[in-house]
Amino acid sequence: MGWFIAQRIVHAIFAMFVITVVIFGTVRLSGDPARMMISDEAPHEQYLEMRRLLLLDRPIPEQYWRWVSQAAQGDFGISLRYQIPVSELVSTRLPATLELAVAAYGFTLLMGLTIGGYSAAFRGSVLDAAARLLAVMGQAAPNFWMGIMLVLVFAVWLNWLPSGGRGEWRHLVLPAITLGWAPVAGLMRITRSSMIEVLSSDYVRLARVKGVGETSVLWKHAFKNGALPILTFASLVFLGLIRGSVIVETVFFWPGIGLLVLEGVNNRDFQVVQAIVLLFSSWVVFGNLIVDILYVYLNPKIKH
Amino acid sequence: MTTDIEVDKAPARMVAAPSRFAMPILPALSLAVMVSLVLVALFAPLLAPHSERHGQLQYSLEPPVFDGGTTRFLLGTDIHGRDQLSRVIYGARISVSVVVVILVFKTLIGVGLGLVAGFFGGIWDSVIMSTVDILIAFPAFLLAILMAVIFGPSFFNVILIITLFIWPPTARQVRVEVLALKQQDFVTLARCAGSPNTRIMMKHILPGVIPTVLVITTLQVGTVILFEAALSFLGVGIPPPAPSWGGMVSEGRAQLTSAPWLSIVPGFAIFVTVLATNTLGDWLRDRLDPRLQTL
Repeated sequence: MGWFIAQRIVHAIFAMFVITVVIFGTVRLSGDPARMMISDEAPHEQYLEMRRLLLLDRPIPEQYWRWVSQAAQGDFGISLRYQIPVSELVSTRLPATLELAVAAYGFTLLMGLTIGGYSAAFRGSVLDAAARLLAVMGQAAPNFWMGIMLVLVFAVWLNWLPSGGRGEWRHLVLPAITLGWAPVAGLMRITRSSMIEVLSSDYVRLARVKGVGETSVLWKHAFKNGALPILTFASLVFLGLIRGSVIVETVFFWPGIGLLVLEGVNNRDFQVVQAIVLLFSSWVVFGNLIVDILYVYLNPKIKH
Repeated sequence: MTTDIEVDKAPARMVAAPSRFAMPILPALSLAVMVSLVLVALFAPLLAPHSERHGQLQYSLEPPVFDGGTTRFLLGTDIHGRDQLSRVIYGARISVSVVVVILVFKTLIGVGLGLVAGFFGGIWDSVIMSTVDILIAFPAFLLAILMAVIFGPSFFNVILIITLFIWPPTARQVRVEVLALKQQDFVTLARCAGSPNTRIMMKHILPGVIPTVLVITTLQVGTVILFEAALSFLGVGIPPPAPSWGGMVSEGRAQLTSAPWLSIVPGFAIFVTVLATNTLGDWLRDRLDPRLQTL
């Protein structure tokens, strides 16, 4: 087991190395930052001076190392557009993204677990079929389109909820549903299949024979034992939400990190895009690592 | 008395496997949708009633026929007076070509590397599978945005970026298949008969992985379409004025209140296409390769 964890850690570190090299390489391929900082008519000496100032005359590995070690300390450089540190920009936007992610996650868990659990208990029923139809349709609808359709119905036509921005709880409803919708289908499927397996086990049938009610059988007896794959999937879902937040924040003008990425895209503000891609990537890689390790601890059946 | 218990005991897995939607009518319908989409893409110039790029400003924001419009513009027009039906038809061309090109490349790369990793093992296997693991863990969408920002949005870049992130599952699955096939008697026999490695790979192993590749590839059609649509929606995919469906939703959003059809129609086209390919893919998987449940 220790060997397995060590292997996963080495793997995560290697993955981060590759990701940072790709980000660094891509940004460097995009052009000479020194050229972008000075005007076209500036004399050559000024250009060389700028290169020295930006440390671009140093060897590439040294530049890479400087960038990575500064990023590790939370220094992502200065936003080309706003002229303030990128870390400052990110930290003012982070709470909004977290708020949305937590709300969306709540929605995903509530929908995925309930629908999946009841589909398993009443499999073959109308409810089961409807749930699966919902899942199939949910996976086929692009999330940006679903968000816009929700805005159309609930904001434009019915005028029940605001179409965008951040404020009271009513602002949170549509973006949270849009963001949380995509993983519902997957969570529902996993829950359904794990629960079907558990529900046909001996102790569950014993509970039924004893006359325990169906709801109690489902959540008290079965769920606890079918929970492991569900928990693993549920933690991966949270990482997936981070990815979806770029699209959903764009649709709802939700002032989080995702919208900041798009602003960076539109302003050609590489510093910002680069920093956020690096942040999101490291969350995903280390999140995966933690899920892997937890899985080993929680599942004594795995002997690596 | 015990029958009732016996009934729900054994077939737990068997009940779970064949989907309720695996009835032949739905896959057949899905296949029909996919075939007509390809036909629409091929014959777009014949089918489109108007130009997809040049509008007539006097016809700006005409409603579609189901919303009080005329038959001149069946699906209405956008703010530049471009006929939406024609744009959706040409959009099919973009989606189909993106999907075909990407899936051809990803199949070549994925099958090739999967074969090599599984067949030769050793260092080949380690290097290829580490790459696969890392790419699967990559936050593909964000890196795609970064790359698109830096290299600029273009058809070629969309192909390159999506292909980069879409081949690893194929390689991984092909490798697993190859490892199993390698142990089979007919491979050992071919080896004893003196067949060279390349011949064994091409003649004896490759045909065995085709069903798996077919299932994965069908299921990935939806992934590719949604990926491209999302990039185009954010403005880092297929650049305008090309009528990419994702880009059309993004452009139409500005007139959501006055002309909702501009957001509804192209998104619905994406939805129907992905729904059809996923349904067909699920059915194929249940038929050909039920082990691929996680994909």
